[in-house]
Amino acid sequence: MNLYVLLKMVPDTVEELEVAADGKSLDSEFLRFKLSEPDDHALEQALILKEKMGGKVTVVAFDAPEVDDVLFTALAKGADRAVKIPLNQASLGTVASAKVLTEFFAAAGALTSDSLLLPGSQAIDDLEGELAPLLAAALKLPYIGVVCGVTGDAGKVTVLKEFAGGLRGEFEVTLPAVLGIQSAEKPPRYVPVAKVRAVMKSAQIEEAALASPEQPIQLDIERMYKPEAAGRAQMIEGSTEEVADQLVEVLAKNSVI
Amino acid sequence: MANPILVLAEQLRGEISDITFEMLGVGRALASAVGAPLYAVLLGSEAAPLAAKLGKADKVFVADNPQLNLAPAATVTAVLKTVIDQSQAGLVLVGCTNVSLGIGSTLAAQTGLPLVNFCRAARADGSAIQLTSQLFGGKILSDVKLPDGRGIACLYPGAFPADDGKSDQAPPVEKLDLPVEAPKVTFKQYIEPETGDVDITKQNILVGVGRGIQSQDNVQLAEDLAQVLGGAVCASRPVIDQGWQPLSRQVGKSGMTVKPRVYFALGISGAPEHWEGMQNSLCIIAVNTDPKAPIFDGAHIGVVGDVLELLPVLTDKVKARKG
Amino acid sequence: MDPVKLPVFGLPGLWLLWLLTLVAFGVFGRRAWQLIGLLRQGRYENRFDHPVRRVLHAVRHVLWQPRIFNERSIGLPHFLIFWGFVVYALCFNWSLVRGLFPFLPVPYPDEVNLTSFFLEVFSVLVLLSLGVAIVRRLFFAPKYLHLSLDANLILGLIGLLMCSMVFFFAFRMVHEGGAASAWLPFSSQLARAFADLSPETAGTLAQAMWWLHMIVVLFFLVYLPYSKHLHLLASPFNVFFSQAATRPVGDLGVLDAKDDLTSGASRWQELTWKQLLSGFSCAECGRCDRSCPATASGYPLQPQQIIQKIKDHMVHTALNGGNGEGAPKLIGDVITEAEIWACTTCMACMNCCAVWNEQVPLIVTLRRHLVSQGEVERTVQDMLANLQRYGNSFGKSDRMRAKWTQTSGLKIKDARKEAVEYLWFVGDYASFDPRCEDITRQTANVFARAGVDFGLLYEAERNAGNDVRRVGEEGLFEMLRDKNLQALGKAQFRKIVTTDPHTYHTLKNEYPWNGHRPEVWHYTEVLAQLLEAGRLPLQKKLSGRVTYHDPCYLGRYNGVYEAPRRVLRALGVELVEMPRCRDKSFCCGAGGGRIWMEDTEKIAERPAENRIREAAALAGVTTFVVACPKDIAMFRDAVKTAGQEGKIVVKDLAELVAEAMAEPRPEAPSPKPETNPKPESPK
Repeated sequence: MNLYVLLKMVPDTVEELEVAADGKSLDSEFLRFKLSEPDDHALEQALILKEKMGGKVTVVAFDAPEVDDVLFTALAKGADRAVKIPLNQASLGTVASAKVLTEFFAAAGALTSDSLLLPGSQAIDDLEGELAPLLAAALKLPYIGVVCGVTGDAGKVTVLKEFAGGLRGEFEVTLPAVLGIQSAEKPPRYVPVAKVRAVMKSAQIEEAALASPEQPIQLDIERMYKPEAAGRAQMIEGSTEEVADQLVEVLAKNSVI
Repeated sequence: MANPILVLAEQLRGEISDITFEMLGVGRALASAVGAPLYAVLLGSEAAPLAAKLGKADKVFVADNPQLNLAPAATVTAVLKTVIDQSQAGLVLVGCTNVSLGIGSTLAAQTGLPLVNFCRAARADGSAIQLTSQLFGGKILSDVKLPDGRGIACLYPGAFPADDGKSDQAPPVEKLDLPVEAPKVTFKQYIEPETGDVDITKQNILVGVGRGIQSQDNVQLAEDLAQVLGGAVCASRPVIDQGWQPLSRQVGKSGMTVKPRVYFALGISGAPEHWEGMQNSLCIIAVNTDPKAPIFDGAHIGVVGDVLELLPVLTDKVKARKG
Repeated sequence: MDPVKLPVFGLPGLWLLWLLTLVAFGVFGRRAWQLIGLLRQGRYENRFDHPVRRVLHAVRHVLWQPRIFNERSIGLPHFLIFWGFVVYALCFNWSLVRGLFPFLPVPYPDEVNLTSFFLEVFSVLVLLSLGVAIVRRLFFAPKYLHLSLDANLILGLIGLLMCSMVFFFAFRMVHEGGAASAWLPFSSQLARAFADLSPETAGTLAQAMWWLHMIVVLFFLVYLPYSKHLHLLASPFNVFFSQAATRPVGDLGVLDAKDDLTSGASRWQELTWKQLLSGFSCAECGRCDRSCPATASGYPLQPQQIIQKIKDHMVHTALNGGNGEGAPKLIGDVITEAEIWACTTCMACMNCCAVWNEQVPLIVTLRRHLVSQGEVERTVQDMLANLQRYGNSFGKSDRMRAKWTQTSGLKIKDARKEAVEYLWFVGDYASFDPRCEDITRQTANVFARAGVDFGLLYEAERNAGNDVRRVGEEGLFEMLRDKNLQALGKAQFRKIVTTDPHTYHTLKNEYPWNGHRPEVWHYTEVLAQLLEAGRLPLQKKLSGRVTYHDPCYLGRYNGVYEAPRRVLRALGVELVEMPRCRDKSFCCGAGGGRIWMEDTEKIAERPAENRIREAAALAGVTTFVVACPKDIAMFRDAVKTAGQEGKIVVKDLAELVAEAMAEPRPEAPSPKPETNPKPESPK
């Protein structure tokens, strides 16, 4: 199988996110990036498929702070190739990213009849939409999202898509295709630091020169702001009866009764 | 008259999903504000009878075709495109749910319409539509404008009241008879949730109990409340350790991460290990005898008091309210 | 009478002795060569450094055996059997040489008064000791003492050796006319009982006893390297080569390794020769198991089994043809992952091992293999990922590390910007855990009021790496260590003070420092120093009975027992010791990364609960004093789960000091500490 995993760096929400002076973007000074979690699962799923079916795993990422570490980590985990597109991801929206990647995959020979493109199902900064369907539409490939398990077969894969309440659906997808991975069959593996360091010494990250699209983000963002701080709980006082009455109101307001 | 607003109704296994009513509710409000009709599109086998529930729409386009059942995004958007062309719809509302994920983006790719994801508020501003998107796991909100009111908005489930989208009247229905290409993604079967214990990560309401519940027998009080609310009981580590609840009910670092609409933290002090597993719950109601318990720093609603006293009273009142 | 000059069963005695000697030494030599060959298959490590220190260590612990005396019942008996063995071994060799070479102009040792006296005295002492040993084994066997037939056989053989010697003396005396000898008081008594025997019969019997003795010893020689009593040959070397003589307690480093050891061992050949020698040295006494908190709590780990299983596995696969298809794997088949992860690295086992085995580094070596394969439980993986990314296990932004200072009411210096006397290395739990934050603020206030000039690294501080290293993630440890050293290199300070004993140990003993190691102190030591210098402004005497829990990494690892106790006594409280205190302290269960792991299976009783019950059983003790932030987390939890709420309350030493300093508070910026040991009870 020819497996492509698309890795995307997103702002780390463990850090405080601050809005920049223009009021329309994040302040990059405080920003730190980490691999989008579903993408980490996509990598794991690709590695599992490779172990079961054979083939090659290529990881592809745009340039972003700390992205090299992520690419080397992917290689240490078992990916075969790492490709970096030297365009600054932060300035590209999802739509523009999809355009660049379409070009990347449209290049001769990239897509074969046993190719599987595995982006994460979604990301926390997907304001313009998800990468997987945008890419699939542009490449005219079959697409399915919220995938939580993939089994390979000749020319097709069987995937599990998560609905709600534990209900899942089984789908058959003809290759080549784009699968938006929500979670791998198993949690992403741990790779020890020593192994990553060894890979850093021995492996190379390839660069794919691609042109930047002209209009990065198309939406008219008026402002960005932090939601009002939740702070301390709103305390309910009174007799047990009164407290219970007020709690019933809270439940009703949250439309659970 | 402004361009119509179009709602992509979502159904799963012959039932209209809540998100559909949420979209119809907010769609109705927007439509009234801009003075446009509200349309809905409903796809899938046996879709026709379900259309009757979408009375908030001025018209429902129904494509009753078994091939459209859980059809791939490209197939659904082909239908949507036809309807948009036919009805001159401006704003399209799609659910930001697992079932519908990707349909909005595919439509955007095919039509060139701008898409705003993760919307949890929508307002009309003249003929423009202003949407509030919840980004970075809820840490940042972003106001985005669709200047001419044309675009695709993916609505976050649970952000809008579903009741606003319900109606007793049956709407006018227009049947669509469209050829459907053989899709390259085909639905095979449902896989039911694993039987056995309840999956607490899928619950809307969780009644979490901690050491403050004091004994195994008292867990029943929490079970009673969970039952009338249609939720489930979960627990913090000490309770699991005591064997009062099975491991599958553990919330926290080493247990499950849950995000229900309402989370009761009963007799749970709020140790970070536990907090990590339930902090994203939409509404956290904490009850603890200790006013200094850290749980009150993060909960939305707090009650200083005895859980054992409160539980039976609350259960009765919820029962009474539900009738 | 020369026994070798007489025929035995028709054979000339000399021939027989030569035959037996050659066979016995041949078999022994072959076996010894085999076993040494196994050790040589292990990885190289240099254990030949500091030869003088090693000799002194070996002399003390082989000849004097203080650790054997840790268990009263068997201490003296073992000591006597050991010395009996030495005396008998020397005399046997003497006899043998004399017997094999009859032309040598020397008497047999039993013909020399002084040596026969020693032989006689020790035979009686050893027989008495054997009696104690057998009674202990049969009726008072401690838990985890390995009760094998092997051991009984050996005890029997030793008995036979002693008896044959005494009876030899007695029969010889009868043979020679029955004159009692002052050098052989016991045999003289025994000879009286046989006075009726004819001199010829007595002579034959004496000769038989002599041969019996020699044959038993030669059999012993053959049997020894196949039995657990190999310890008697291997352990002196094991003690000589032990790390304790030359390195910090529980050191995880390997000197002059020729292989990359960061990925640990999955086969016995990947262990070092010294680790393999452990198995030959183990006497199966069970001391380690009896001291192990994991064993006591019902976890699958028994430190002795780890050592034994590796030895058995090695011998089985390498010598007994167990290496074919389906041969068991060291990790998984022989030793389970659950065993490997159960260790808290508390050092209790190594602290009591009489042959100075090194169980903890061995377990860490096995863990390193699991980590290299990514076979780490989910929660630990998350922690390691957090530590990699944020430098703390809490998964908090490193910018939040010093958040606790914001509400401390103090302006704490930034050691990266201005010179300080003490750099306070606060550690993860004290910085991030909400249960510990307030204690950390109180500690800061105590320091400030005592006029300590201190500062922090603020967000540049990283987890010191103690737990990471013991989980087996050596690469991550190195990464954290290097980042800390870099930050410390830029800071200006004279000494380091730490809150966490784990951090203390690692900064003090596991960072290279390139020859410029600063003084590293634990805060309890600094408090004791301030107290002695009269700089702790204690305002009032506290009352009540308290007990103190020695943290493993402060006590057993670094020998700090007195400082916290001196401070406690100065506060006015009455210190009551738990039965397991000081170097016998019972681990809380958090060390070695255990604090990040979850119990998937039900266990009997958590170590921390066991400990709390021990403390609660002390009359009148209502306060359980700790000196480690992880102890706060573990024991406050245990007080709840052990149902001891309201009976005992867990407090940090710093809290008590702050309490005693509390009175006149001019501006009272910090939260007021509770004044009496009252349990907080979110029931």
